[in-house]
Amino acid sequence: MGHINDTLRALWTTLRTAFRPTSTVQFPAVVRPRGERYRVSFALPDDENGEMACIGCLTCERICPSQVIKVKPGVKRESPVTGKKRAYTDDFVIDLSACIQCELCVQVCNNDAIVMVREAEQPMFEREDLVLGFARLRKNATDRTRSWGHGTMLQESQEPAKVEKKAPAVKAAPAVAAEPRQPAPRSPSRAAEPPEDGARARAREGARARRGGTDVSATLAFGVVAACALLSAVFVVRAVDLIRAVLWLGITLIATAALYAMLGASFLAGVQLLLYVGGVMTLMVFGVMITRRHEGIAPTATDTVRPVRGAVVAASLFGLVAAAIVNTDGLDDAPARALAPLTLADLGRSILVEHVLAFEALSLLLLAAIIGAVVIARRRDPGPLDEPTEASR
Amino acid sequence: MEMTEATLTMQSAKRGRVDPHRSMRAYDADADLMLLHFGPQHPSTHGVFRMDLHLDGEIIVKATPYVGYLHRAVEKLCERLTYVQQTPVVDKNDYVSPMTNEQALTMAFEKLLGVEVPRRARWMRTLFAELQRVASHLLWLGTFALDLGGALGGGSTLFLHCFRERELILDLFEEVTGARFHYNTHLIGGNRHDLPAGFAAKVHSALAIVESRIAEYEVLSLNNGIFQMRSRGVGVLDGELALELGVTGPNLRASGVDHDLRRDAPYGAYDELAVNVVTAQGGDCYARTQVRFGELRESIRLARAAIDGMPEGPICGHKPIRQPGQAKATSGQVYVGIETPRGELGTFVIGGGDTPTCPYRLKIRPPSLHALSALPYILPGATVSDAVAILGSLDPIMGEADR
Amino acid sequence: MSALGHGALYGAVLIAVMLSTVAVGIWFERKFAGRMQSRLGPTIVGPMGLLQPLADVVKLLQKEDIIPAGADRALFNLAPVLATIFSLGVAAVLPLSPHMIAADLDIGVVYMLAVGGLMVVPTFMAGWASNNKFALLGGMRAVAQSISYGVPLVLAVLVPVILSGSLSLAGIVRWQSEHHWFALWPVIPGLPAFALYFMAMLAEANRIPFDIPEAESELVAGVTTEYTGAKFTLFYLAEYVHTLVGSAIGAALFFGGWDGPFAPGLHWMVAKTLALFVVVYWVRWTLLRLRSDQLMELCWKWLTPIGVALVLIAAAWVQFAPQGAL
Repeated sequence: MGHINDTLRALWTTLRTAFRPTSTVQFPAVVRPRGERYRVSFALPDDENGEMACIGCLTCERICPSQVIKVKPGVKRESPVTGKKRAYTDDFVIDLSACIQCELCVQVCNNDAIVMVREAEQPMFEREDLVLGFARLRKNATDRTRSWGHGTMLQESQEPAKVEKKAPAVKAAPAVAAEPRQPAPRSPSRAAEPPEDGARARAREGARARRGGTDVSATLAFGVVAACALLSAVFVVRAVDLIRAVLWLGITLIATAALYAMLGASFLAGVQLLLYVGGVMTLMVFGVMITRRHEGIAPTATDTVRPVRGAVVAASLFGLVAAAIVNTDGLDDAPARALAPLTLADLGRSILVEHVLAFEALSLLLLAAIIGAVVIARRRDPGPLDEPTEASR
Repeated sequence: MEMTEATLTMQSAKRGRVDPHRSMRAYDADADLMLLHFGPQHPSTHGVFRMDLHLDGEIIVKATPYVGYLHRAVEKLCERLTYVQQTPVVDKNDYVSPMTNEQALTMAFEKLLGVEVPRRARWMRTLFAELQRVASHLLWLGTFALDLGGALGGGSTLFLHCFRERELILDLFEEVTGARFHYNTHLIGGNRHDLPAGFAAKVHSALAIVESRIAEYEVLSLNNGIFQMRSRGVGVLDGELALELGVTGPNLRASGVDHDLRRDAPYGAYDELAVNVVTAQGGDCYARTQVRFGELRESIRLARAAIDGMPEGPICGHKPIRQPGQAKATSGQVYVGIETPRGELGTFVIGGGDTPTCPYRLKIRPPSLHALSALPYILPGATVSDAVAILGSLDPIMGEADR
Repeated sequence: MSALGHGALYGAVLIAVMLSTVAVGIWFERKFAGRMQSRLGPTIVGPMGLLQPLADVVKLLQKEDIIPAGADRALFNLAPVLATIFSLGVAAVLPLSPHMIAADLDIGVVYMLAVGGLMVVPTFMAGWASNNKFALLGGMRAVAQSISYGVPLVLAVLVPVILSGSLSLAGIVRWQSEHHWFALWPVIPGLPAFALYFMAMLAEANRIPFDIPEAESELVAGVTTEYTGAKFTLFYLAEYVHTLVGSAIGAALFFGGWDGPFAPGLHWMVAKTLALFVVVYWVRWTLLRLRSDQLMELCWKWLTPIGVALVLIAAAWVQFAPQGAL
């Protein structure tokens, strides 16, 4: 009972989530807003005089843990704007493919000459496209939104002596209201519809007519199915791989089921499939799998006694079954369709009333077999794994 | 806690399993058992981790873990980088909780260089560490559910629910540091980024949502019958063995050992914030889940306390980073261990050597590696399905274990 | 029209209808799963992502067809085809409406169980032929699971068979439309039998919480680990068809099939089938997976005894209940 309750509660939880707003968005159409401090790519901005702030001091190149920054310092010359002498940089390259966005280059820049931007670069097909050259870095400075951090500000904020007023901590904890948890009521409604007995009768009529036909196609079909059964039976014996033998046996059994169906014993055909193919064959596969040592390799029949022994057993079994068939009364000239009207109820009555003794004896035999199997299977412990034979450290 | 080789052998003998130190030939001379190479390319090995499983049917007889597929020479790299350059590099070690890697590293450097950290920075680090613990445990819960329920089933539902709430925590980190993974917010002596205005309100609203959803996670995992069937009595790690193997963190506390560095060797703001250590009995996957759920709630409480009691003052007690070689240590060796979401993350540094601006040797003690070392002891006797659950419940991060 | 022609025509129409329903079902599942996981689900291909299943199929068919070295080629190639045939084959006896049944077999229920039970053969063949240990483990689990869950499945199906006294699916539905739905009355064998059927159907169709043979977090992809392209598509399709047919049979056996007011029978049958189909996926995207030994324990220690008890109760109903009560 507890498990049922658990399961229902879990189902209710997921269902409730299904009717909440999603937490994801469709990316290119909707873009999640990024914080002020979000940092992904780089830019080389201007200083307050409108010329590039970088003086090529190489601090960022030396601090970079991934060593992705290459700066080519230029010569000192007079600034065209202020007229003062200052240093310039000729080239500046950041290899984004190895950059870890640690912000150390921004942190150490005393001139605020390198900053990070909030918009990421587009994915590229070539590795070279991820190398941010001078032109792209300069373009980012005008085209993209700068992130919050820049060198002087970061350094100043970290100065131990600094005293800064803090925004008061606002206490706001919006409590999420507990939602009621009862499973949604479901009330299926139902009403009667007029019964349809005509269709069933017609279908049965048609089926019977089909069975009764002794035309060529039926004989042909019988031949094909019977050949299938026989051939695959031969393959069962011939197969080297045990698993393949079992699968061929499956085809034999299916073909037998088809024969039953053609003879009108469709219930028997269904049971044949259900029990023999679905059950017995599967069990055989299972047995092969858990007992075979080396999967896929079957023993090669080297000794000559075994095939002979097998052939003798098979022949005698065949003789027994053939004798039983021949000696059964009323089979000689009774065509197959004579058996067809046998209903399921007749079958049940036949098994549980007329032949109840044989049925029960069979059940007893099967029970004994099961108990025997359990006894044999239980004889396994103690296994060889519990006692190591040698100590090899 | 005297543990010798004899006790180890005794323990494995008590379980009636194969001694993990012995060669498989001792038990399986005919090579009857199926050898299954579990990983490194396998959906449930949490990265690139490999186990050789000797299977009897589906029962594991012997398990041999192999690490090293994600080795990136981080320790060697740290010997070549200066002290101030290393923080962003170790972010990637434990890629589920980058904040705590930075914290462990900078704390070791601070101890080596004798730098005092101001109170505000310590409280900020504690706030980040607890938020990171919430995010990390959420991700663990999601991936553990994936291991138990599959990527195309209920597991992925819980996984994405956990990611939904983890996102809120990452948004908080983005708010402060501007990054979602490579925070690089710790520097020697304090923090690089101060908290923005109105941050406390955002923390409170995010934590309120996370807290309200924990009950939902419990319905989908801890309180669910199937989850309990899959985790109870699976992968039992007893406390003595865990201590002997150096297993720490939630995995150790789930085995009933009351050990937490935040309380036992306080750092950061833990001397002022009392930590209620969560433990559980049993040492199985279920107990490990219980501990992490408890820590989820405890970390939310601590994070709230940290943001509410956040003191004013400077955020760095050392000069800000201006030059790569500005921090120098000519001698000395220190070890600092902190309690990350996965256990004790230790950093051992020897200063000096040829270049005083770089450490002579840096060794990271990853909690995940020690958790993985328990596998040969607790896997035998379990099935393949259990192996996935046990591995997931230990919360290994291969980036950290392999470094 | 000859009987053969009639059957072939119905079969073709049925297969077309099944496949298009599966396509819509996949779309709906992905949308629904997305919502349960706070995601949007497919949105790009077609309006509201409606063409996503089509895009999936096109993508899958483009993939390289790989046969692993050392694989048993014949079995490896045959397995996905057989899986599709068997899963579609069950649909033949589905009573969609009073007049729409491809084959109204007298033993429809036995046919359904037999052909449905055959599904394990291709699964096992795939696991065996792939020459892959994960696939082999998956195949082994599939075999164990199938032979176990066949038992409660049969027992659960026997309840409506006994109550209505018919082995024909159409006959059972007709009985229910004349009297009442088995899931509603008699409640005690009816509703638990439906629950039993539902669980066994999930196990037979390898659906969470019983998807042990696939178990992608443990066995990578179980039996389909080595399959690519068109063959994988067939397995994928067979899995969905199996679930859809299982839902339809559940609707027919326990919820009165085509029976319902105001609308044509076909509409009711489709609505009930899809409702069950959605529940399957609702369960799938909510629950975790059981372990194989727990699966067996559940089957043999709980479901099978309960099933036997339900069959006995149903027999008692038929035998002892007053004429008006049933």
